[in-house]
Amino acid sequence: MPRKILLVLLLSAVLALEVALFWQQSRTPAAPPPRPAALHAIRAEVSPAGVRFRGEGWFRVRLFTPAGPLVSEGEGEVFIPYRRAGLIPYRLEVGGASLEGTLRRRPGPAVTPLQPKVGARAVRLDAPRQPSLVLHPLDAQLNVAEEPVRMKVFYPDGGQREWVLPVVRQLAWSYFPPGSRTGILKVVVQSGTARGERAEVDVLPGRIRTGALLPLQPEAATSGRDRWALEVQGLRDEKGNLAPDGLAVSLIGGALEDFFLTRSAPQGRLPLSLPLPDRAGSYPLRAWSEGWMSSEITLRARPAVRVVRLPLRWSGKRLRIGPVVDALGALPDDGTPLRLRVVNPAGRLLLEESVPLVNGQALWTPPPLARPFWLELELAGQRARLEVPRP
Amino acid sequence: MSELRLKLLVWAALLLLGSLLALLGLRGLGELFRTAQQASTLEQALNLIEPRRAAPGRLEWLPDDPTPRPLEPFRRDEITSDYLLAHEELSHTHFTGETTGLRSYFQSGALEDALLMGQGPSGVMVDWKHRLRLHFYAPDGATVAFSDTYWYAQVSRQSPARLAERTLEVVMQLDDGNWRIHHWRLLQERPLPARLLPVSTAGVRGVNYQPRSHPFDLFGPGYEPREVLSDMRIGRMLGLGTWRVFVPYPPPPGYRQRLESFLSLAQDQQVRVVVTLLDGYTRYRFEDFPKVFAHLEELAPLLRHPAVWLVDAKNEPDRDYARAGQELVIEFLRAWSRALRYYSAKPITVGFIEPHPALVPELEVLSFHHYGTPAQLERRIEGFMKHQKPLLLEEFGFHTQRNKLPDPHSELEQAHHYQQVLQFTHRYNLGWLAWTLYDFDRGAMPGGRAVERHLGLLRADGTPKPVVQVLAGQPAPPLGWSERLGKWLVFWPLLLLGMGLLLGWRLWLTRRAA
Repeated sequence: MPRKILLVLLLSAVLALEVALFWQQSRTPAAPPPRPAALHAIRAEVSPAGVRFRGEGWFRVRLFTPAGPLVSEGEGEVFIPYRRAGLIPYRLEVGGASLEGTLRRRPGPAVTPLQPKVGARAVRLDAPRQPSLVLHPLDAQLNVAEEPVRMKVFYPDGGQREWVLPVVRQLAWSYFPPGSRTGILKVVVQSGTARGERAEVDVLPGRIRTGALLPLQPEAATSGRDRWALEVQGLRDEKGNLAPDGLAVSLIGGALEDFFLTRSAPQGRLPLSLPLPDRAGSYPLRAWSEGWMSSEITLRARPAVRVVRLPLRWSGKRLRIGPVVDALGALPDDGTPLRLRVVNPAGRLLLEESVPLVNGQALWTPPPLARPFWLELELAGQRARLEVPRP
Repeated sequence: MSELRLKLLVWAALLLLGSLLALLGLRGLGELFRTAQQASTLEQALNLIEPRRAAPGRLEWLPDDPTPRPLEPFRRDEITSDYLLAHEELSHTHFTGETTGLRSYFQSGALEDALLMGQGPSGVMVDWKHRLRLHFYAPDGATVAFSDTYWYAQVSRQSPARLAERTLEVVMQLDDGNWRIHHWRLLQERPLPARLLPVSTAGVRGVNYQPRSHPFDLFGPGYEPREVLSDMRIGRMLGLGTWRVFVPYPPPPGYRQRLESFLSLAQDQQVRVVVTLLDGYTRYRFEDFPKVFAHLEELAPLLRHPAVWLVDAKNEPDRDYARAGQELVIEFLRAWSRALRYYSAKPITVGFIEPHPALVPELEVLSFHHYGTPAQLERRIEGFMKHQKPLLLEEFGFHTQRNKLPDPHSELEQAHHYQQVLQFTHRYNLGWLAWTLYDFDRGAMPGGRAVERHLGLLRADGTPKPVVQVLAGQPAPPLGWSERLGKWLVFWPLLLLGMGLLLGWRLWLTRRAA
């Protein structure tokens, strides 16, 4: 019995609580509907933080921004944190009525830091395209300020120039001449009291106009060990500035050989040590860079050994060459090439190959060619010719 | 511990556990619903963007101003692509409130503006026909400044739709391989106003025209100028000087030439034309606006034709409320009617069955359709008079299908109906357009309704019905006994049949109970 009484009491208490809550809620007076504002009496004001509308009563504001509509509503005052300069079309709405208008925000003064964009970072003195500066001087609301920009350029020769750039189409820009001296060119911009970090341009020498190709050791033996020594020197532009590091210089092997080599020249000079070709002779050479071409020099390659006699004898089916001795009575270096040419009786070249000497000797196996044929041998200018008869 | 206390404790624990599970379950369901809704919103946002990509004439570069260096074609392609993507992202943000992707396309002040969109109300924002003119391309190839003039439409739940053309000045920069909008500024905004043109509908007598040989497909491949000319002459003889025609959307190939031919014939025959557009279009999606706008630009020279008297933005849009949503239909028509006036410079109406009050201020002529009784018509006219607009009874008619059950009509009844309707139009000085000139003995009818074949003023063979006398100003011929008794002849047999069935059922029940 007490259990039931307890349950009934509990349920009654819950019910009473709910009824009391509902009664209290129903007694709470509902907020009166907002008084509509008179559209024509609403005043708009552009402040740095946004756009503010003031009127007597409730109204809704809609701004039509480039990004889309911004809507806000309120009683007495409506504030929208839209800060972009330019035209600001708006619509005021009260119930079914609306009124359209337009506000205009002018950008404020530019603020620090300005962020100039300078290109290119490095420029040749006589390059056809001068370096340029582009700047969007921003105000505190990230609008592009309208005040002209003062641009100062400090040249490596100590000189300086100044330009005043108007801000048009949300940017100020200008080319500026790189001057006549190599070094670091500094650009400083200022708009009103706003300043930015200095920008720098590395002014590099112009195109190469002078230089020389000097043969330091123009003659060498075709030993495989000896080399020609030469140097490209005095690479300078029209104004005498030394060529920039990394300048590419090409060596072109005259009209005789298809020799071509490109190296970078630090500090305006390029020392070279060139290996010799196999054959003795004269080799013309020129240096070239950016349209400049040196005068031609001639390099000479002389035979590495002077052979007095070229001993040849057949050893079975193979031809044994050597031992060869040079004029000093010494064996030629191992690897000295011996050239062999196989020519048929009509004088037509059938085969050409090179055999290295080892200990002054070489072994050569004739190829399975129709015999007889002639074998021509050449070693360091010494030639021999013998007939290989029918087997 | 007593048994009772133990039981109470167990019950309390079970109750607590149950409540907890119920709460968790509710929360889980809520979460599921929220996720589903989010997915649905994202899908809708994609559907919003997709049709715009296929829209014709989306972006065009006008001749460049002199710039420090010429813009390379591949750079122009990059800028075009990134700029359009930026606008698509804005539309996406505007619809979903999602701002994550904005940083990929905007920086600096433009990003600040774009991020504000995440706080605004969701809605549809569509832009099209961008015309860009390059003003500056930086020597280092990393900055461009251009102006862009384009159209846009915005619609959200809280406000009427806006259709405007604007000019924006934009600076884009190349950052980490992507072009982003850094700075922009609105230079001009030209919303299309609802500036109404003067027009009167008094004395307008006309007809909704469908050709006999291919009804409901006037500008289709079956268009025959000789037939139209002949019908126009007949119409003129009947005193029908205003013809309403329908241009379908999407339009059939070659429709433009046919409409032009029709308007030329109308001008020759001194017939004024009401051109009804978007016939058959029922989606009312703002994302379709670029395509619909392109259609309008194509039509614009024809809408300015001297023979066009009135442009009807849409036929019976009230039928589409259920499918497309009433609010969307009205806002679409608001923007559409403004665009029509801008391009046609002609008065605008909407072929409502029942005009929507929200759209009345946008229209020069208040059109309505009426297929009810003449008495109902009078009440409706008096209701519309409060709008103080020229009224046009754009569609009315009376079928003459004798075997239409339960409401068969005769041609004499049609004449009497017209007589009464025309009395009201005369009394209230409003224009009217009858439905339709001919009965049809061929072709498909809308909705497959056979009654549509019998609404003509003339029979399918071209012979006149008695209603023609009424149009000529003579009284309608007197009704015969069959017309007077016609309804009763149908009503009484049906009533007797019904009562018989009821009686039989009662008898069956009584016998079953016995």
